[in-house]
Order: sequence, then C-alpha cells, then structure tokens
Amino acid sequence: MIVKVNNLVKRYKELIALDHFNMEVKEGEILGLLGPNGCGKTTAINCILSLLNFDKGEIEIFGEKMTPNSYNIKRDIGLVPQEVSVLHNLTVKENIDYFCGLYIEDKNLRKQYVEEAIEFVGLKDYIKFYPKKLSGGLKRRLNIACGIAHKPRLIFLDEPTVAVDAQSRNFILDGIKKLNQEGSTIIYTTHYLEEAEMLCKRIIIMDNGKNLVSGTNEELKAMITTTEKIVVGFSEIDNNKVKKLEDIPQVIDIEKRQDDYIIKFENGLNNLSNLLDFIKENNLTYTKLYSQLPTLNDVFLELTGKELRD
Amino acid sequence: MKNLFRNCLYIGRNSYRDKSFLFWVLIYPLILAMFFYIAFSGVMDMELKNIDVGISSESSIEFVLKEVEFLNIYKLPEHEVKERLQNEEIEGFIDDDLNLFVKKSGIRQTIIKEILDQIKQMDSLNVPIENFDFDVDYILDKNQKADTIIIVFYSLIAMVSAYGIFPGIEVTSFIQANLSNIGQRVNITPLKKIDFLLSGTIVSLVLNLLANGLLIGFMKYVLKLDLFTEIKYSLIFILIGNLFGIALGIFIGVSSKQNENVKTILGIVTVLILSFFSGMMSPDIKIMMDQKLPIMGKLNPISIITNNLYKVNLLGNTQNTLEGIIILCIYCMVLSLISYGVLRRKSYDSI
Amino acid sequence: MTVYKYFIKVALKNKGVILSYTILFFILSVINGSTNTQRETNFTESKLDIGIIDNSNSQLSRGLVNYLEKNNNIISTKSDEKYIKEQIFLQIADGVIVIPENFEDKVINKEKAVEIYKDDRKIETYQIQNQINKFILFANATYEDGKFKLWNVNDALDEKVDVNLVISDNNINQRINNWFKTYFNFTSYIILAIYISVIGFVMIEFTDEEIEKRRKISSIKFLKFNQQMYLGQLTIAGFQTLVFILGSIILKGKYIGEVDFFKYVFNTIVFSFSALCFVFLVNNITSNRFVISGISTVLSLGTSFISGVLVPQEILGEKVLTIAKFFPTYYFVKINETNIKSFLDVKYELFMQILFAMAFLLVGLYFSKAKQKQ
Repeated sequence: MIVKVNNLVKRYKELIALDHFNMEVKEGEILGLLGPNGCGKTTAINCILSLLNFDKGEIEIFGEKMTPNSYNIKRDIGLVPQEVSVLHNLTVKENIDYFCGLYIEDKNLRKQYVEEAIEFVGLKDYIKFYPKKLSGGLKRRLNIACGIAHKPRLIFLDEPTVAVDAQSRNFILDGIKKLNQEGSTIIYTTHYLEEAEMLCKRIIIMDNGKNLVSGTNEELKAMITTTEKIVVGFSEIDNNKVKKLEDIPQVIDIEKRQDDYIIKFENGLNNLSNLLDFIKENNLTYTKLYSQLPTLNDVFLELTGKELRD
Repeated sequence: MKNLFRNCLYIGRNSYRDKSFLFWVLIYPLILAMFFYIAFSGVMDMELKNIDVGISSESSIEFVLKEVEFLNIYKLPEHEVKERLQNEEIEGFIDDDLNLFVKKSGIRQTIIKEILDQIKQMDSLNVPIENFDFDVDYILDKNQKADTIIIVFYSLIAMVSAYGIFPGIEVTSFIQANLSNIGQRVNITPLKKIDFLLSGTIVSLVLNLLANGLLIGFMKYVLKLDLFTEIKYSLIFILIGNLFGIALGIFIGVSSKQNENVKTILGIVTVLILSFFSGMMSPDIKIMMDQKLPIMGKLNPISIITNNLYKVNLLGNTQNTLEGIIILCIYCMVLSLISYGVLRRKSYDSI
Repeated sequence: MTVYKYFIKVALKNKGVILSYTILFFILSVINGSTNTQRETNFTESKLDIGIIDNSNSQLSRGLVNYLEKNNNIISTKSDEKYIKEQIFLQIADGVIVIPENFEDKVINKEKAVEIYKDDRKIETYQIQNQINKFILFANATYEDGKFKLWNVNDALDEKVDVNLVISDNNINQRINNWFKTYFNFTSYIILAIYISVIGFVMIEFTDEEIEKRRKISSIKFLKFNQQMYLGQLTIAGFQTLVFILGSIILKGKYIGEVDFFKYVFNTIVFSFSALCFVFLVNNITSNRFVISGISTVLSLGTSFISGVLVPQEILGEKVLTIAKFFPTYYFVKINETNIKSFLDVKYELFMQILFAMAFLLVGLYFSKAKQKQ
C-alpha cells in the first residue's frame, strides 16, 4: 500500500466534512475519488497531505506516518490543486522551473525535467507567456505541469478538468494515463463519472464525507441489483400488457419515461431475447429498443437515492 | 544555500514585475517627495516679512515705522479701520496715541506691539537719541541653517523604509496554505517553510533598500537636498526601518485570514498614520503630538527613525541613538516572535 | 431599484477604506480640537519657552535675565551644545541663550555679546533676538562713567502700549473659527480620497466587461441603470459628507453659533459636488483598480499640499498657487479662509468650483460617449 487512510474524521465547527473516511491506494494504480461537489474529496486530499488538521484517524504514505514535517515523503509527492496556483508575474517556463526547483536541486536534471513537463502538457509554444494571457484550458495545463514536473512517485490531481474545453480535457486525460504508465501512482478526484470510468482502475465513491463503496469499475457495478436496463418504446400498448411486462423473468422495476418504458433487470443474461419473445407473443410493435449496462451513476443512485450529476 | 538563492531570484522576479509594486514602492515615494518639495519650498526660505499695519493719515511715527523693513504701512481713514481688521487685510492699526488695535492675539500682533513698546520705551528712557546705536547686533546666531522643513523629508524616508510591510504581507500569503493557492503548493514541497520565509525576507529587504536608495538619490541629485552627513547611523536606521516594516508586514499577514487587498490597505493606513504623527504631512502635527502625547514620539517607530535621522545628521547628536535602535529592535523581535508562533503551526483548521 | 441596492452593498464592502480614512481624520481633529477655544477677550502677548545659561552673572547679565523672565517662560537647560540642540529639536525650548563670562566688556565694545540657539522652524523666535537686542541697546544708551543705569532701563522697559482687541460685528470667535477652518479644509483631502477610491472600486465591479455584457442583454434600460448608479454614488458621497458635517457638530457643536457654520456646510457641499463630478470623470477614463487607487492617493494628497490644506496658502509659493488654481480644492480652501458677510463675497470662488464640476462632467461625458462608440 502506498497510501493508507484509516478512519479519518474532520470537522469544520458543526459540519462534519469527513466521517470515518478510509482509503487505500496500491502502487501503480489510478485511484478515482468520485463524489458530488462538496462531498469532501478536496478536504480528504488536504488532510492526507497534512495541509489540514484533522480530528481523528491515521494517515500513512509510503509506509510512513505523514506529518507536516515529513519532508522525505513530500519529496516524492506531486499535487495539482483544484485552483490554478501559479505565480502571476512569472512566465510559463519560469513557473514550472520554479516549482520543479523546489524538489530537484540538480541543475541539468531539472532542465531536462522542465523541458519534459512543457512537452508533456503541450505548452511549448507558450513558454514565454504570462499565466493571465493563457486561456482557461492552457492555464490548467500549466497548473498540472507545475505539480508533476519533478516526476513524483505519487500524484494527487484535484479535479484537473473542471471548466476545461473538450480538447484540453482529452489532452489532460491522456497525459494522466501516460504518467501512470511511466510509473506514477495517481489519486484522481472528480465528479465526472465518465472520467472516472474511463481512467481509473479503482474507484472510491464518496458522499457526505463517507466512503460509500470502493472497487474496480466492474466490482462496483456488480454490487448493485440492477445489472441491465432495457429501454423500449411501443407504438401501442394497453395497461394490461404493461402489467404483464413485470412477469418477464428477472424484471425488478418498470419505469415510464414519456412514451418509453425503462425495464430494469437484476441479472444480465438473456433479457433482451426474453423481452423480444414477449413482444412477439403479444403482437406488439416497438419503435425503439435498446439495452444499457449500468453506469456509475446507477451505482450512486442506488446507494444514495440521488443523482451524481449536478 | 543554492536553493535559497534560487528561491530569492524567483520571488524577486515575481515582485519586481508587479506593476503595483513598482508604483507604490518605487514611484509613489518620488511623487511624494516632489509634493513635499513643491509645497514646502516656500516655507524653506521663510523669513519675517510683510506684516501689514495700518496707521492714521497724520501719524507722527510713520517715518519710524517705515524704517522697519518687514512692515508694510498703510495710511487708512478712520472708518475703514475696523473693516480691514475684520477681513485680516491688516494685522493691526496704530492710532495717534500709539494705541494698537488688533483682531486677535498672535505672533504678528505681538511683533507690532514690541515695536510700539520700543518706541514708547525709548521715549521714556529719556536719553539723547544719538546714544542709541541701532547698527549693532549683539547676537551671535549659533544655529545651523536649513533645518526648517527637512524633517518632512526624513519622515518620508522613514515611511518608505517601513514599506517592507508590503512584501512582508505578500510573503506570508505565499507560504500559508490557508491564505493562497500557491501556499498549498509551497506547503507540500520538501523545503521547510523557514526557507521560504527567509528568501522572502531577503528579497523584500533588497528590493526595498533599492527603492530607498532611489528616493535618497532623487532627493540628493534632483531636489538638491543635502540630507546625510552621518552615513553610518543613517544606514543603520534605514536598515532597521526596513526590518521593522517587513516584520510588521509578516505580522499583519499572519494575523488574520482576510485577503491580501484588505491587509495591504491596513498596512498603508498603519504606516500613513504613524508617518502623519511623526510630522510627515506637516511639521505642526508633530509639534502638537509632542505637546499632547509625548510618549507617542518615543514609541512611534516612524518618529524614532525620523528623529534620529534628523539628530545624527543635522545635530551631530548620537546620544540617544542607541535607545532608538533598541526600541526598534524590540519591535522587530516581538512582531517576529508572534508571527513565528503562528507560522509554526503547519496544518490548518480550514483552507 | 435592484441596481441601486447592490451598488450600495458593494460600496459598503469597501468599508475598510472608508473607516480608515474617517478614523484618521477624526483622531487628528480631536487632537487639534483640544487647544484653547475660549473666546479672546484680552490681547495676550506670545510668550516663548527660553533656556538661559548665564556664565557672566554680572549685574548687567542678571538685568537681562530678569527682563527676559518677565516676558517669557524660563525653562531649565544644560551647558551642553548637544543637549541644547536636542531641547530645541524636541520643541522643549524655543530658544536657548548663552551669556559669556566677559559679557559686560563685549556689550561695551559693541561686540557679539550673546550666543543664541533658536528654533528656525518657528517665526516667533525672532522675538527673543529682538528682546535681547533691545535690552542691550537700552543698557548701552545709558552707559556712562563705566556704569549702566539699569534702574532706568527697567523702568523704561516696563512701559507698554495699550492693545485693544477689536470685537467682530459678526460675532465670530476667532479661535474656534480657526478650528473649523482647519477641520473643513482637511475634509477636502479625505472627501477626495474616499470618493475616488470607494466609488471608483464599485464602478470597476459594475463596469467590468463581462458584467457590462450581461447588463446590455438584460431588460433594464441604459438610462434607468445609470440613474440608479448615480443615485447610488450620490448616496455614498452624501453620506460621507454628512458624516463630516455631523462630526464637526459632535466635536464642537456648542460653538457653531460663534462661527459662520452655514458657510462651511454650504462650501463643503459645493466641494463635494465638484469632487463627485471629478469621480465621474475618473470612472469614465479608467476602470483599472490599480490606477484608481493611485489617482486617489496621489491626487488627494497632492491637491491638499498645493492648495493649502496641509500647509497654509499664505506660505506657499506663487508658482505653487498658480498650479493649485487648476483644482477646485484651492477655491474651497480660499472660501474657508475668508470671513464673509454674504456669499457674494466669495461668488467667484463658488463659481469656480461649480465651473470645475461642469467641466469634469462634460469631459467625462465625452469619454463615456467615446467608449460607447467602440
């Protein structure tokens, strides 16, 4: 385990921001910390990094207890904070060089690392620019470069794609994969479930400061009863027949949304052919018919009763 | 050591490229110096002149009064006297019996009275007029000149030396994770906070001393004011002023979670008020303070610097210099200790 | 009135600026106000604080010391040049005189007979010189057969002319009037500084390019929007000026019958108006926070210096005053300094302030039109 968080509790006066939060990160993985805005993701990161005091709990990084004075641990950590945190009167290159220099003392090595970081985030044409001249997406890229230039073993990325254009977003996501391939362990917070699904080997879903569940994408989806949703639209159907839909094997719920019916199944096998059989038997005609596998949103929905999307 | 130097270099670069830093620390003091110079240049060669006195048209002492070079004599008809006095067109009116009419008590009125007294007294002494030898001046003036308004400029230098307050505020927000985004980054690096604080202080000191040098150069070569004769002590006070400013800035910086703008305004106002009381805007305010609240002059750091710059350079007096240095050092130490106490906590309750 | 409401809200966010200037102002006014405010009924001569070191201790020197004692306050001093200079620097003494051992010989030989250290910052110290010279002049005039007739000198010097204080018809208490003069002169500095920075900062937020875009696509009419903006500015400005006027009543309310209070109030309102118009101009020229705080500090302080707020107009040079005439502050101070029977006496100065206000408005409008065309 590269990071171990045990029963972390953090209170802001009355508000309980983290409520016995637990987390384990394995070397070499990309861990997604997924949850709605305000669920405690950033607070968790800040506590892990010893930026915030916490009320209870243990934190270990690289097998050692993390404290504000753990400079040896800090040497191998990179943080990409949520807000763009750079010096406004230094150019792109100077900023990266400055922050890299806080970790890497060797001049030649640093020079190489800075070049690589610039290449990595694709800011080569902008090295002489001041941050305020950069577009939102490019600023984010600079923000990332400042956090990862020193090639840390463990990287925290706190919602690096918020308010970023599609092009920059894909660039950033690809970059994160590359960082991981090069050997960095990554902790990635987001409230975009698509990103988490696409990027993360393992995901922790948080809500109200607690970790609801954790596991791989598939494990998470396996945890919920719904395993398949079939959306079907009929050209004509009477209520009797709708009732009869429930008799199809493994149906757990039917929901009417406008003219369509969403039929939820609890087991993934043969559902579509069973439904088609039903349609044939009852002489129904359908206008549309498709099957959906559950998303993380369904997982979240089933666990908390609310949607993850805002 | 290499790290410290590199840190200084970048923090310094970040500061001097900041337009508002350039304006407030470099340009603004020069503008103030210009204002002072313009406003006080009239005062600097102030002498006693132009006291307007009215006399009746048949006055017997007209010829005597005309001898006094700083009096302007106006012959007035009786009915105009009162109005002219009211409007302060004349300071006093002398009637034929050597009675003086004035509107208020003041130095100009007293001077007119002294002259009239003398005329009356000479008459009363009853010796031949040739016994009076008006050509002799029995007084040996031991003053050195040019100390009139120069205090204002020492005050300005004192104020600007305390401008280390701004980089002081900035450096705290740079290293405190709960004050800025950058602070979060800085806090998770393997470098100690004290390293950042040290580089911030060095940069502040160097940049501010440069600004001080520019101002002093401007005063010396452009305004042609000769302010410094005692370089050693002057430098010490300017240096301590700088340290005091930075310490105060760091103190204000760590004292609350308010944003940097609010703290900067707080800094400007603190320094401005202290300078005000040390006589920067008008020497009268210093005089007033010395009379009403003498302890302020002893404790007000800007006053200490101002007074000592004046004393060592113009009076050649270094008697109480040490006292001033010690008080300022105490300020620096107390402020630094409190700030250190706050800065030592490395994790925050909220960010 | 949504625009108005939020204008005021944003303005009050800048309470730090408002409060710090206002507090600075009132601290100074309170300190200043603790001086004597009794109406003068008798003429009083200015007395100075003098230190005397008499190394001669002769009949003549004692005579001189006696004479000086009668007309001044004597303070103790030390025969140490540094100490003396420090006493003068700290304003403990207005002057210190040193009488040398061979004082009498020097007087008889008409040489420099007394050393004097005096405070060149004060015009009053001329008086010390004058008194000493007079005493010696008189003494020497009576010198006969190796003797001074000090008795006669003393008698003669006791003669004084009568001084009559002319009481004003308009019932103005000069001392308290001075306080009001200083107080209201000083408001001009604070008013200008606060108006420019506070109103300027609010306007920056509202005229931010993106915000402006939102305003443009909203359903509120430009005219109506501006009306509420200006009403907001007027409220903030009016409130600030009112605080200063009320402040003077709170500090010296019982004396307002003894000065021309209405003149000060009216003048301050006129000045506030022209300051507000100036703010209008500034806001149409720039919406850069940094430029605005620069203008606020430099201009308010600068005009105060050259227009006679911080240094009296009478000791400012001709050239300086010529420059000052290009700013309304000069005319504002001028009116405060003038004793008037009616406002006709200062019609020119009032007219100039209003003229400036109009000029600021027109130029401001020009820039505003130019900006809209872009």
